[in-house]
Amino acid sequence: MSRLSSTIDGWRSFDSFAAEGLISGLDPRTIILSALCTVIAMTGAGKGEVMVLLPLAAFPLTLLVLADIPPMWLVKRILPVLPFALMIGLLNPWLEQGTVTLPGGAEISTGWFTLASITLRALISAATALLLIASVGLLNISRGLAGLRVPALFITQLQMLFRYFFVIGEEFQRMERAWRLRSGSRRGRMPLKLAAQLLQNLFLRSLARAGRIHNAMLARGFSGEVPAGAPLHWRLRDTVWLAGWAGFALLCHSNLPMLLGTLLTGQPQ
Amino acid sequence: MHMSDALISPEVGLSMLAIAGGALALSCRSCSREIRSGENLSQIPLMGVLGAFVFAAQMINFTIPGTGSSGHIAGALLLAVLLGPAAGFIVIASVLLVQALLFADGGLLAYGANLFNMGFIPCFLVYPFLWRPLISPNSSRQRIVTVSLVTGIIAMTAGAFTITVQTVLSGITTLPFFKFLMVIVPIHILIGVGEGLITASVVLFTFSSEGAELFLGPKSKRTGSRRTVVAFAIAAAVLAGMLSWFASSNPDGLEWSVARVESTEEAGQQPAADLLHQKSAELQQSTSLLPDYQLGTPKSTDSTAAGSAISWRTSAAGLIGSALTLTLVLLLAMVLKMRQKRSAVPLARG
Repeated sequence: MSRLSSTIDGWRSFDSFAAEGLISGLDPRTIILSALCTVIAMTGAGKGEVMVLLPLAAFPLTLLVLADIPPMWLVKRILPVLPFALMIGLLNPWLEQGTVTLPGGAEISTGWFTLASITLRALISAATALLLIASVGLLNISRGLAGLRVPALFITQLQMLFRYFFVIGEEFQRMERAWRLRSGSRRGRMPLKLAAQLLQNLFLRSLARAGRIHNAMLARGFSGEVPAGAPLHWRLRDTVWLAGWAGFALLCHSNLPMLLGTLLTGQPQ
Repeated sequence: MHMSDALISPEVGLSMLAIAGGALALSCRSCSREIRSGENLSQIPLMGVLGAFVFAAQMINFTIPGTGSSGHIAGALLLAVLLGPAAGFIVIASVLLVQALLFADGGLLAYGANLFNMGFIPCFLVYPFLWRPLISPNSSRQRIVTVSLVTGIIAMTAGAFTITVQTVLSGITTLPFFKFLMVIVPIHILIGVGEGLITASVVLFTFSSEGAELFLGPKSKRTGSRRTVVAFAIAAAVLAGMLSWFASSNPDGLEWSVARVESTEEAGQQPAADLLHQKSAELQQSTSLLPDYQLGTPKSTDSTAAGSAISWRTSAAGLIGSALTLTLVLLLAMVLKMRQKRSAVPLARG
């Protein structure tokens, strides 16, 4: 399946989760802000930190459980994100000169901790972003952003993009499929000249489509404002959810595992 | 290539978010004024459809001529040419946000950095200062292709350069600045060739079918330049305010990395750090699981010892704590889920 086809199918699957689960009862602003708290706490962990990062995986895992999302769905989408972070992280074991003696007596480069930390960061951040959209839904994300005072024109643009990606994407999918069926290429790469020609055609079709959509909008009384939809309501459970995750992120930043571990084992830090 | 949450620090991420967010707010304000006045009502569906066009176009991997690799169009330069810098920036911002959420490309905090690298640079620097002044309605096909090719390469390379700066400033990885630059720039030059040629191809096609005057009127030039100056002023103010504040308490990533390696090798010979840095180091020491690794001060009193030993008990305490934290949160989630399943009426939607 081409990347375009898998994206169109993947996008459809995102919206199928959002309607169900406990998350749908929360204000989208709550989920966006708590995801941001988690990511900021994650990026705030020191270089080479692994233990501080581990508990932060609880946020995406909670979204996964509460939104009833199949774990394999998440794994399939996270894997393509890892190569860039791994490419940057893989050099650290050789570049860093410091060493750490492990409990067994073996001595390893501190770069291995940096690599592990970067990989863990990539996993947590990708899972948080993917599960945020999967559990809340694309249109609810835009409603949440509007509630967070993001400019109305940007929200309208996001909603237009959501709506017309399928129309334009499927049109391009047909063009690409026609090329694929006739080219015999198995590598999925299009010659640059042909890609340019296809995009020229798609662009003209998109312009014509935009003209038709504009006429349809004018016929329905469009005056420059797109209706915002039902207003959002902030409730007590939203406050509890946000305060809980913000507090948790703060505790993780202060090395929560160490605090708990010390409490259980009685070992001073 | 997207900057990743895995490599960015909160200081760099939030600063870039403020700069890119400021530019986005200004662009929205300016475009909204035009749309409300009824002058440019058709802009809204056009922006939406072109956003979908660029999004779909990014899914096509084309062969980079002369190499075995492939790349895809970024689209910001093309959008700036077709819609103007402000509207082009809004559209590419929406595309990058959907990419961050749908493919986890980059991440949430790195969104500002990615918007700056792939949106601000082509729309507010490359287009108004290079592409637009060099192209007029009477420009030849050859000139449009050459200018688009060169500006496409410049936009891509500048984006790769800023990724390198952001990564090194963040200090999450120990990749030296020039080595990283050497890894990342060559491939972006090649992708820039594809970006430039496809931009030229679509622009030429559009100019011939719709007329070049529609896109190259005197207004687009004026609006672009004015907005660039405003965006630059905001970027400079935010950078001066936020980054200098962070810089005062922490050394930058490169200095930090060098200092760490040096301190591992020459413990005890370091000059005293400033008070703020010392306090933050003490705080880090008290909260860090691997304090010796973090600060590069060997546990052993022997200054020639290269490494530092980790206490078994400390590691065990950390591992048990991590497992306990995760288990507690997951148990809570499971309980909530079970309660939800038992309940006949699901929670009302807000």
